[in-house]
Amino acid sequence: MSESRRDDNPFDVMLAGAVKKHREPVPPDFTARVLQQIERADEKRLLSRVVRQERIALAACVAVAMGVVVVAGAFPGAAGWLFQHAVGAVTQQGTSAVGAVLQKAATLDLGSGFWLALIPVGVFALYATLDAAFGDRLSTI
Amino acid sequence: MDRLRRGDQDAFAEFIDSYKETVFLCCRRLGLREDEVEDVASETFMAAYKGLQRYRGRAELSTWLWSIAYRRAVSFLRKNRRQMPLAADIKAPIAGRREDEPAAVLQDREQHELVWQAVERLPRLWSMAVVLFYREDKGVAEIARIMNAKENTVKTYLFRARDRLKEMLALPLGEWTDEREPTR
Repeated sequence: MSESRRDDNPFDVMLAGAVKKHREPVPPDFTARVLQQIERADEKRLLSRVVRQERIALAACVAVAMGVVVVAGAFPGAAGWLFQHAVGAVTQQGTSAVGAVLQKAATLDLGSGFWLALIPVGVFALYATLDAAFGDRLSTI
Repeated sequence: MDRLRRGDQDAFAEFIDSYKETVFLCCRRLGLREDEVEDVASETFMAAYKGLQRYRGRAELSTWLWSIAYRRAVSFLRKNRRQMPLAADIKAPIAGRREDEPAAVLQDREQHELVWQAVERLPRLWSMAVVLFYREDKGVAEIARIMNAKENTVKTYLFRARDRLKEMLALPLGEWTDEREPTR
């Protein structure tokens, strides 16, 4: 069946003309309904992405905190040394407020593992706060 | 196209308006029930909305959409474990014929309705090929791509459909087809 035949042969011309005149019935509000469905699907996708991000962040926070506690328990000397150096480095960089807090924390006699575990929790809290404040703007960049 | 890719809702509304009729036609030609047609048509446009980012323009936009609609409809039928329904009795006379009325006075509207009735009575895949070839002006290669079939298969569908249509229309449009039957 060649395409030229469709244009040359009278029966084919009649057939093409007749089928082209056919109008297929479509519900009048179909376009609006599809657009609504798309909007709902977009919202759902966005929401599930946010929930997934939050779950990953929370899981990572818990995993890191537990890891730190385990490492601090298994190698207390190395963990203490690392923490002291971290505090020292932050203080030397001139971020006095953070340094002061960490130094104060290091002097408290609650065990270095506790404080090491607290750092990621603090980081997560900071992340959650920033995300709540600027999350929408950051995601559209 | 750029507006569509950017996710412009107005552009997509225009896109739906332009193609909704063909998508409904595809679903109905493949034998979906009336209550299923709208669901599959919506799914087709949802899939197109997601897929527009990846559309590279290798096929015509309409061919690309037909392919989506065809695959969705066929997969719906498979999922529901249904064979593509057979067409109505193709030997039955086409309704609308009036013995006392000469074929020459058949109004244009009546003629196209008769032809369409005949197309609807063809086996589904033949009917689909006819719609794509004669109504949508698609080439055999494009139809083969849409229907996921070999080009020779599509040619066979078209030849057989054409012969069957001539047979079915011989009665209501007899004079027209007989007298103006072209020499091949």
